[in-house]
Amino acid sequence: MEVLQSLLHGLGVAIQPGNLLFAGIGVLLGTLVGILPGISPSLTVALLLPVTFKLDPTGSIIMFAGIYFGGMYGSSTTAILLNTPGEAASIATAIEGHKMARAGRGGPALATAAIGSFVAGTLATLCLALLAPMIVDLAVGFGPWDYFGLMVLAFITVSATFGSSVLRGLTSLVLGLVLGLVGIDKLTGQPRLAYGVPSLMDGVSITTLAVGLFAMGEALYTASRYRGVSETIEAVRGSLWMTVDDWRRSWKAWLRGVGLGFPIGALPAGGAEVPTLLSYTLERKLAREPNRFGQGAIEGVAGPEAANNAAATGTLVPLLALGLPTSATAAMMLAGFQQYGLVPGPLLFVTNTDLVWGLIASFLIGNLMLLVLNLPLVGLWVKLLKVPQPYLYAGILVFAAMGTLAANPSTFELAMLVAFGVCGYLMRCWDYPLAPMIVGLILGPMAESQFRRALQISLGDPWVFLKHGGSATLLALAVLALVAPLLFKGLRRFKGEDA
Amino acid sequence: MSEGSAPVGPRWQTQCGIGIALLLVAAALWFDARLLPPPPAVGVGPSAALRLVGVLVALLGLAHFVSAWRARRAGHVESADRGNHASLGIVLAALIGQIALLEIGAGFIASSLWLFALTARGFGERIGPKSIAIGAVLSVAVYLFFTQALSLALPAGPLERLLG
Repeated sequence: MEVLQSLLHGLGVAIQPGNLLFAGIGVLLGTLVGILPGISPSLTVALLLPVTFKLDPTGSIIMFAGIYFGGMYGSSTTAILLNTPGEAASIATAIEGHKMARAGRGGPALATAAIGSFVAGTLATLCLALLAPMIVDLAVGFGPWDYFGLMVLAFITVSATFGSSVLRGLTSLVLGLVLGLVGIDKLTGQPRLAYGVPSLMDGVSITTLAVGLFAMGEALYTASRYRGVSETIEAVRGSLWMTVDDWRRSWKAWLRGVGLGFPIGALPAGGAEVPTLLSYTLERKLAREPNRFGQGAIEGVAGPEAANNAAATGTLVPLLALGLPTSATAAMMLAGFQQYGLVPGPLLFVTNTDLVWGLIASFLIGNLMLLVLNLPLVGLWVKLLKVPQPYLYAGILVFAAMGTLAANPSTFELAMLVAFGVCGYLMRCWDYPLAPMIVGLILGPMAESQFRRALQISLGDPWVFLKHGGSATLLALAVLALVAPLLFKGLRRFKGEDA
Repeated sequence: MSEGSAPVGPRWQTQCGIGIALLLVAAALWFDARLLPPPPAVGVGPSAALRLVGVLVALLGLAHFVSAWRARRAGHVESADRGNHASLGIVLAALIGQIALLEIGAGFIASSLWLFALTARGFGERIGPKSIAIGAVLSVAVYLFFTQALSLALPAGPLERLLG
């Protein structure tokens, strides 16, 4: 019942007018960027970091979370009406959803996506509220070796386990680790890899890397693939409402989606695309009339949409309880916490009760807002898709440059931004994942300091990591997670190639 | 997005290039580690992580050579999609030009306008009154919002001094 009390207390914080306003701005912005191609929720948070620097931490972080959820909602709209998923997590939705839209059932497709996301977001938030304090209790007893083991496990799962190539995932991660080494060492004050450049002494800023990789990289990539033709938008025809049959076929898919999405998001498995594709496959296997799949089966929209929202919420469990980001957006949210000098983890639940529970309760409110906003406003959102591409990308680049200049007004920083942009472009061309690099940059220095602390406590004994049960288990799991995809190529099927 | 069992990713020549680049990064890390003072008596110093990550980077570099060799044997050729180099070049020129303009003190508004108009050109929109007007309104609005509402500094040039 302690949880219920905390949650009620959190609701009290979340419904303060200021925080409600931030949640509203967050979900609106999130929906907007989810709909617009080329801007991801993580990028939006990155661009907003310098802007929110002087605002209230609770409100800003509530807004960031709203952007995350809103992005998940918005991208389903694009997936259904345009067949271009705004985020990777909506690929599965596009498969059946676009077919439904073309068959004149776009309304029910959007409705099942929105209601399913609401159901999933609410259930997953309740799971988060139950689970996070338990993990916090467990984590209080963690030593530096356990944290190090946990971070190594996160590195591997984010980069290697579920990607299309272990080698490319790990390469992206290790490049992030290299960038994390740049700058003054916090323990000894020695500069590393700075080559006497003052801007490098402070290290590589996460904002610069994220904006470079995502915004610049995406713009350059889209430019290089520019063909001068625009996509056709499927108009929403027919009723927005779901029939009794639609409801009957949707609700089980929603619950199964939550069942897949939340655990996979909460385990450091990274990203929401894995559970959505799993859910799609599962729904197709379970469907009473499997031949409907491929022609617009509503289960194929309901399940993945619920799974992606549940996974997004699940990702916040390791972030809040352990300070461990396992997706690019979670990494940006961690950067958001850090800019206010807050460190997510067990301690935050004690020192900033208002913020933590206010944030968790705001997820409930945000999901409700999204449900109320999204369905009636769908026509308005569709109009947004008509923003001409040249101005859209030109605007993105101006905002990207502005965000970087506002955080650190130097041309060197801007040059770094462009360099990361070229890097992101090349990584897109050659199919290297981007998220591991961001996670490497943000978790690398944390892992290093835990590593060194552990060795200091153990008086330099390198076996300390294997002598403690917790860290030994975590490291063993990490090795397993690394080897499994190499041995077990069947895991590839999870990526939905058979779709 | 990968297709079935066909090998995806870069061509073997590219993979070799990436492998060489990774080995160079590893060398840079090890070289930097040598410049640091020796570690303290207990535990490890700042150079340990450099060496460790250096080894990882080198291993991945070597793995790229192996992968390149395999890709070559499998006769993997990149898809015929050659991309639009003209557009890419224009957008890159927009970005580099912006940095150059800021460096010579043209200020935020002028450099953003350049970035906006040229990027739009890269995406097929001709540079004309329309794109320049949108770019100008956007840059001025952003500049005023940041400096007036958020009191954050953006690089100022002659135009910004006119706005006060």
